[in-house]
Amino acid sequence: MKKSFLSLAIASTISMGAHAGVEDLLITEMTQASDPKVGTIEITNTGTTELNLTGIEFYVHGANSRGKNYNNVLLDADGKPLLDGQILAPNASLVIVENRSSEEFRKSFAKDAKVIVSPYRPKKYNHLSLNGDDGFYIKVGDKIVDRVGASENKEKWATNTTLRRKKAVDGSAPSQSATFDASKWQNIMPMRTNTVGAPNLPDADAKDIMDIFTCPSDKSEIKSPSEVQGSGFKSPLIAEGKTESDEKVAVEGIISAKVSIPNEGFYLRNIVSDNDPETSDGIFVKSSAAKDLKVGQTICIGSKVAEFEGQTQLSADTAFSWNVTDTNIATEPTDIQVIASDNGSFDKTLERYEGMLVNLPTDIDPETDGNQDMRITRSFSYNFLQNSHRRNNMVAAYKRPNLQPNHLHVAGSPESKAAYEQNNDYRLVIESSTRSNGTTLPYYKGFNEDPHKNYIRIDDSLVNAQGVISQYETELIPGTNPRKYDQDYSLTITNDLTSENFIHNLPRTDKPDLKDTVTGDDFAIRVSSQNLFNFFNSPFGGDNNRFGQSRGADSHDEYLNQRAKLVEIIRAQDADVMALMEIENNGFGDDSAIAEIVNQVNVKYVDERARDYNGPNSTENRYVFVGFDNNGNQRLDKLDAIGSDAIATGIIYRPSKLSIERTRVIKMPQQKAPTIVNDLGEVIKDQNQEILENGQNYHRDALVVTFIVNQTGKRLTLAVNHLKSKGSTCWEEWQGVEFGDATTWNNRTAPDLDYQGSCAEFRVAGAVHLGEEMEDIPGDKIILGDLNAYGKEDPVLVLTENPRNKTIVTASHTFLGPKPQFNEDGSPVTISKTYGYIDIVAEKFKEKGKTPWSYSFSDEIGSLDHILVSPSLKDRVIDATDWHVNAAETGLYDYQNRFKGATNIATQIGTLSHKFYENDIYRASDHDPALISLSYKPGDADKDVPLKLPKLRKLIRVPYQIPANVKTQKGDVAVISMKPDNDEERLDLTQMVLPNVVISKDNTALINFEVFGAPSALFNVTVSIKRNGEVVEGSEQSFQADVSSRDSLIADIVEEEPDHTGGNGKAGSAGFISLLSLFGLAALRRRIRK
Amino acid sequence: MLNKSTIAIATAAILSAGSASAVVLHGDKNGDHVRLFGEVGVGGHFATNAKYNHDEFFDTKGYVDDSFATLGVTGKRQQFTYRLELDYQRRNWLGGDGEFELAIDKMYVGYNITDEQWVEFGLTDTAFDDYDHFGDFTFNKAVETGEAGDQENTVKYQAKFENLIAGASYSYEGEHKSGKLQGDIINGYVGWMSDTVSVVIGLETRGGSDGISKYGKQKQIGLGARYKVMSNLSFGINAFLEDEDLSTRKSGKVFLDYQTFRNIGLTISSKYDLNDRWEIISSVNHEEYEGWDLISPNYDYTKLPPQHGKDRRWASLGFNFRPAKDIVLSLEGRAGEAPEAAYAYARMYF
Repeated sequence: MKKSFLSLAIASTISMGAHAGVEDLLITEMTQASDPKVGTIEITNTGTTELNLTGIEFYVHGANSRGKNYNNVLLDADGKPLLDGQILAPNASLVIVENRSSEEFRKSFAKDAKVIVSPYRPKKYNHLSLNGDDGFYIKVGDKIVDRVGASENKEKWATNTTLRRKKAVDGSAPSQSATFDASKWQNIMPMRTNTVGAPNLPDADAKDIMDIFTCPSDKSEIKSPSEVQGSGFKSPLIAEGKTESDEKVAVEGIISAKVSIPNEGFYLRNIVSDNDPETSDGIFVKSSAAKDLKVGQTICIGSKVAEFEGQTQLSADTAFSWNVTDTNIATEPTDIQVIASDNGSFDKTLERYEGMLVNLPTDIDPETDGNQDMRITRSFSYNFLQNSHRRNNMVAAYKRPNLQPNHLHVAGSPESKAAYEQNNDYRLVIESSTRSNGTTLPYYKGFNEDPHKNYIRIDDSLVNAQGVISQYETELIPGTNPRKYDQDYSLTITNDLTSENFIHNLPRTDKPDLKDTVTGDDFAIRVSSQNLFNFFNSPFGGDNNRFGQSRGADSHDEYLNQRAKLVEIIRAQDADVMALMEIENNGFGDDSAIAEIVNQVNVKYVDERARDYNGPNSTENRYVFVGFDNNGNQRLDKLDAIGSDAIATGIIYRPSKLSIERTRVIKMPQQKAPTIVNDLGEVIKDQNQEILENGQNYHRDALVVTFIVNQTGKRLTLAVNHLKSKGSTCWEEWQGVEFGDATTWNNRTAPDLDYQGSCAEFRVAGAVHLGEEMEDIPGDKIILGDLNAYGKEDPVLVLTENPRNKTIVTASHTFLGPKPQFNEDGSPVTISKTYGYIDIVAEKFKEKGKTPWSYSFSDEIGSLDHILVSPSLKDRVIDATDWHVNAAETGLYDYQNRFKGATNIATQIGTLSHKFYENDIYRASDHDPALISLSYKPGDADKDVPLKLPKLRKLIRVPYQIPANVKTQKGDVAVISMKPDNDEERLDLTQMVLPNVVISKDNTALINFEVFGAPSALFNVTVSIKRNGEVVEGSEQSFQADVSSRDSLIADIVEEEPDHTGGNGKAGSAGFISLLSLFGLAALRRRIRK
Repeated sequence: MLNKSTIAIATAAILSAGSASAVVLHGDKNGDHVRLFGEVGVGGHFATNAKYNHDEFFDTKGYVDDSFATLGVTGKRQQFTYRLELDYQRRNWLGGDGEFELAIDKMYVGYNITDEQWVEFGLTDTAFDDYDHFGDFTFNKAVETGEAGDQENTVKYQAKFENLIAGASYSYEGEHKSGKLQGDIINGYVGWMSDTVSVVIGLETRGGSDGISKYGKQKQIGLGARYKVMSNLSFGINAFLEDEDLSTRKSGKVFLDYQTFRNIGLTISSKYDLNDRWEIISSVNHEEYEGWDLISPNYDYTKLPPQHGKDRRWASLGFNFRPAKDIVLSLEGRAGEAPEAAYAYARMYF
């Protein structure tokens, strides 16, 4: 015999020996319910010799949510078979329990039960998890020797059940069985655990124990759903101070719906309505044992009445809790209707329908003029709840989408608090009857088949949707400890919806609704602000950023898809200057993100002929970005990144419309506060093991560009901002929080009493600094961008006005570079000064009777993206608007592939994407753009600013605003002379053609001289009207004109110009003579202004 | 500052221009003359103190050498005058490297309008510089008045009558001693000189660099006075008040956001002549620079605050010993918030 055979034989013998007596190992008891924490398996050694369990495998056999069976061997924490090393004495049992099972539950077992905990192993399935559809078997070697539960079972066959192995007929221990025979087991419902762990087996003829409810014959003992509900928020059958009735009650009704969301169960309605609108005629029965029940059946159920998360409900663990009468009675949904006794509380309205099958009519309040309907206030998306109700769904609100409380009302004011309460009151979560996979709406086939045609947007009216009303806990209330949650009503939709059920009050538009019509010779300049939704090009051939982050596309296809949408939305806005947020902070080189986006936008602008100049594809529409040589090395490259964040702001503009006069970066304040520690001085970490609050917080630096509007001498300064977000905390959030000796703390529990989110004080510090710095800049000014503050929050109040004199306080420990921003000791300052800017989108919308909003967070909308104009600019504003092209849409339409299902659909640009993607403008970003149009007249000028007259193919147009008191007549001749301001430059003027213009119309107000061949220089221009060869009195005008080439389309360094606070080099005798007068040592000091 | 090749040429010119003799004194009865002059000084600052060093020393250590030599030629022919003066000095000020350098200190041509009035053109002291330490008897000079000092491209007028003195100068595109542009500088003085009481008031203003250097506009007024109480005891006072604009921000190469800093200095000193050879000199001093003041709005927080606070006060006591006419041996001790403990120096003129 060869050696290997020999050794195999020996090994086999040894292993057989190890399992001697294994035929006496039985599964003797099992408890199982939908809650895995109460699942147990008892095994018993029925033999007479000790049994070593090493090498024996124990399997859970179950079905997953997709209906597929699995077999998972139980392992211990080290990955070895769970019971390796266990010795089971003769006639002894042990119990396997789930790791989360409570001590209390384990105490309910038989005395001295030996308990083995099946440990949870992250991302593995090798632990005991029984939830109603599972079985269990013992495997020795390759062979299954004993089993409970049918193999290949996919049904919830053992909910709230105890199965006990019966003895053999002769009273001896039963033998092992690799197949499951239910007759060999005593079935006990609901579950009992008193014998778990004890090696006692019921006799072979032991009867099943079923706790069966019998509907009382005395009808007076049977309640209707409406009697259980009563007219209040709580059932009259539950004693004060309790959440459950003391006794079970018999309730009879007809099943109106069966759903699994928000909780699994069915809804009963009154057999006969009580015709009392104050009471609901329906009630929810929570049960996972209702698989055989059908809508239309009549049920009499015995259950305690409970208030759970605000909802009055019954519950049934098993089908023995009810008696079924097999009727088939349809339930007509009831229209929800507001009545007077609701006293304006929509919660009260919904409470009257809790548990009922309802319909959302087109007019919920017939007593009020117009149609009051339900409006979508959060589009279909993940709800990010902190509790077990995390899923994809929508939220609707009564009459209007929920506006963020601080959007129209001063943060912290009673009105803001009232708006918050109203939002809570008006909210109705829209659920599907089965859980959505995140990409399909179970109730809307049209959306699933063609989401581009059948879209759902915020502010859509949801009408004639039918379903059942429930109530459950939703949002965590910030700052509550122990945690508290809002309780909201939900509608679980039970009918199939079509596009008729969604009425678009704000339908999609392909360009913004912004007027820029001007009168006479005026022209319009369009300014907009667009968030680019983390446009990062560094992983795809762009320059690296020095922060090592990539927050944008995860693949090349995603990147191209993202870029395509952004290019479309930028072009569609047709702005002359655009502020950008959330673009990769990788400098201003040729491979920077901003260069990439500008190049891609410009690709379409190809028509070069003069006749096409006003056309949509004219080269005149081309943009250039404003580059900042931030490190001063005379090169624009990736080293010129601005500030300390991986994302930055940017500015692009059309040189055909504007010319840069000056650029600068305003360094924004940083917070350098102490790290948050507990009472022992230990650093507190958050739930992600990161430091809860390290006191170091930043804004993005502000980009400030002063333009001269071409053909005028008007300055227009844009300051582009992206202030610190509301999402992560600052030092202020944790002041007053009692940490005790805790070393970890949930970072979402920071108090937020005025709904401004985190870092409101820090944003105030930023707003103050911005306001101060901007004061030094002459001319018309616009502060725009993402201020991360709603319309009436503190930073906006600081920059605009504070009419109610709210006490506005800055953050503590803010620094401008190394210098304390306010007090030397870091203490905060109360800000009483405001800067008088005008929130122009809000003002224009107010005139139109509309409310601006640009962002949707949770189920509230509001404007974080603002355009604040200096009062000097107000009269130039033609129109201002938000364009709801992004925030109103579900995030499914964005470029990202994650959570969007299969990504196998070819796009028009040759990439692959998910089915919701198109190369269009919708959901190009998560913020809506804000736009403004301004009116200018050629020749307008600020004091001492020359007209900016850029050349186009050697031609300039010199505007001449004819004085109002000069009435021109047809046939008058306008004449012009232009002389270089600096004679010494010896300019070649031989090509210059100074035309005379014959006036063709009486009372002409503006003449444009088309001057050819003027070299680039500063000119002194004189214009006048001649009539019969004589200059018309009062018509002569003189001004300076800066004739230059246009700003280059090639990225060029724009350095800060001297601000002329450093003198002009000239000491001047006047200064000396004035000094001579100061022998009295009078003060010399003066205030310097830029 | 001038570059080295210029200096080399200038030195060669001096050495070849005159005669072979190193010390030549040529003169005629009309007053026309050529003189070679100079000095050699050896000594320096002892126990310099980092805590109180403002911009005095390039390094704070036990001994900072302040040795110095100057060599010049001056001449007059008819009403015309000229002067060329070369300094061999330590770059021992803050920001310097402590090494020797040769620099042209003066290079001008002058014209005597009358015996009492004259003008100079070229590289020379600005007018105020001639009297910036008036009233300060200390050998080591106490409080430094921040006037323009020597400047190129300067036109200077000065007058000295029996008692009245006056002067004014204009410097085109003046520079700080570091070579940084300060803009045009005008300064001047007017004073009254007598054996008992002398008073000079100086004024200065400059045009600023307009973003090219950190120096913006400046205005300054200075006062110096001496009072001879008795033949061997004099008191002096020297003070200045300056509002100087300095840049508080820089972007690329451009200096921005100039703000006005107020600086004040005051020295009160006395001199007692023990005999022909020995003098005892004492002083008390006060300096106040807004740039030192932590709570001023324009404090530069990139620097640590000075340990002496927003002002600096010290006193000195010293001796001058003159063993011969052209020799001075000086020793001075300082107490209080002074940047050094002592100064010792030996100087010989010719």
